[in-house]
Amino acid sequence: MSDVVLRSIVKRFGTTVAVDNVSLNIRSGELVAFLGPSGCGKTTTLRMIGGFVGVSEGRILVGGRDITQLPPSRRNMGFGFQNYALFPHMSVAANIAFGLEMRRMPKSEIQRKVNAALDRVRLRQFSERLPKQLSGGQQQRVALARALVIEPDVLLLDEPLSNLDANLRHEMKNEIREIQRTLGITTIFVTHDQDEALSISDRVVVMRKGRVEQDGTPNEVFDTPKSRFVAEFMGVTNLLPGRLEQGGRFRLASGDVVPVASGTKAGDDMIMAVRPERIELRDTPSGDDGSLKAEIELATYRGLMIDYRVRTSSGIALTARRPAPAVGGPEALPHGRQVGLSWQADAGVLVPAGEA
Amino acid sequence: MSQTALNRIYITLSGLVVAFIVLPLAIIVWSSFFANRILTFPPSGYTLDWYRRAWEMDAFRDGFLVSMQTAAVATCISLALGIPASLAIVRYPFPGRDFIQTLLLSPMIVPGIVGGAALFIAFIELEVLFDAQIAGTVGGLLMAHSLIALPWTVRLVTASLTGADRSIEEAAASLGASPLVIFRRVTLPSIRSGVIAAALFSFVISFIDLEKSLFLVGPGRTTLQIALVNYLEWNLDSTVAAVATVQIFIIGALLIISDRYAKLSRVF
Repeated sequence: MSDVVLRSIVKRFGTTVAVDNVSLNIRSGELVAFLGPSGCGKTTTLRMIGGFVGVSEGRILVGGRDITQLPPSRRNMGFGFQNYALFPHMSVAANIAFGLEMRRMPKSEIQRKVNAALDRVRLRQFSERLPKQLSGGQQQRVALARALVIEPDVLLLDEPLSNLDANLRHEMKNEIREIQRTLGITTIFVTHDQDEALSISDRVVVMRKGRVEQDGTPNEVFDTPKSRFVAEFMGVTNLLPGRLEQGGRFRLASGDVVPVASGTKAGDDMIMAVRPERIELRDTPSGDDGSLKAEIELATYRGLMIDYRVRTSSGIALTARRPAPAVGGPEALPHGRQVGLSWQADAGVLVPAGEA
Repeated sequence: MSQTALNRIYITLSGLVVAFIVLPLAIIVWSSFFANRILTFPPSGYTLDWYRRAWEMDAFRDGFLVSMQTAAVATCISLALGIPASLAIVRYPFPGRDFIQTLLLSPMIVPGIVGGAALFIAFIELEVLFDAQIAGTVGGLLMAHSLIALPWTVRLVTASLTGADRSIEEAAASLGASPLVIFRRVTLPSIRSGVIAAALFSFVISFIDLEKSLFLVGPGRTTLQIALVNYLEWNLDSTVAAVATVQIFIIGALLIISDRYAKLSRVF
């Protein structure tokens, strides 16, 4: 098992900079997600680590060894491709045996390891099938077995779940996590799905325009986004521009003043990001307890939750997400209802104003 | 006009076009069975004699063997040159790539007789330069036929390479395979049908060539097509029709087989 170090990695394609000075330390045995929208440089970074794309500047170290100039065949990394990239003319067993044959292992040893790999992904009975005779989920498991059987130092997965339907995705997600934990293998996977990234990784690296926007545990990235971009990517819909004042107060552009937990220095223009789940709605608009007077504009039923679009009397539009009442219980708040609206001081996360 | 009337016109036109293409071939096949001593119409009776006669004629039998051998070797040469060239063209953006591709396809565009004459003149010049015989030798003929086959090989192989999935090659690389192993065990099998089609097509194209070979064959080593032309100069009987019929069926069979591997309509 090995740690992976990226030192000021840059990748240029002609004049466009796809990856712009990315530095990361990935600990041995860690499961890290590169998360971001398409074109953010996450896949290019992964492919540079795998050796399929050359590095314009910077160094890549695995287990302390500089591999920047090594071809993919000498990096000892397992790579999972988005389309699985199984050899279509080879059986499942032959696919898995390929990497071992390249290592000139004796036949009996190969046979033993292939069988063990097939058992691990529960595909022993399919060993003689061709890839096209398998379902998408089975193909993904063969690809995983093939990548892992060579006992790589690092496992790299490019959008491993994007071609699967919702049920399988969930199952495969857990399977990847379980195998990764059992083997303790350093793993990097690329995804554009924040749910996926948050639910299985030890660490999430949010990328944007070729740079690392934020790097932290799923919890940190989710709860304390460091920029407006990360906040939006994590599903924070309420972004309220304003200014920090003395005494832990935040004055919204509308003039309303709301509490804030931790302040950077007063006088800065900031944006307060508030998750819709953290906004509380009170039936009675009092206004005295620091809550804002607002009116329900629209209620959207979403199963477990209801999304309320509300507008404060000062004119700010917000989304609040509240649990949907059970059948026979209290009714959902109707359109036009006056409510009081508030959130805890720690629910409002301040991110720098400025670029979108 | 109604839809059905339009349909009828379309079907009639298509039928006429097919008839225009097939009829001459059908007449050749038919006339190969005429009993008349000199090819005339109507037939006075039917016979298989012309087939026997054709096989008994040295010129045709030898020509057939020369054509088969030439086509086989030319096919091998064009694959040996065409597959690496196609790989380079499809995979690597090197300077002058478009020029090289056009160059490789150009023998298909230049009229055969022009290409043949050009090769002949070039061979003569080289003979003068190096004092060695080239024109009229087996080597010269093979060179010409490789050129005939090469464009078809390049076209068919580049087409199947373009459609091939590159990530399987990357997967092989990440599993530790060297470029040569990747080519042999992953790339080649994945373009197998394109290569088979290229081989069959190259073979056919070389086998049926007349114009390019015309200047380049030597005494005692003529191809079948040239033997046929020579015979036609002084004779007008059904032997030629018999030989042609055999060719039609061989080539037809090869084309049907190659079409199973790569749809020509999708390549051009």
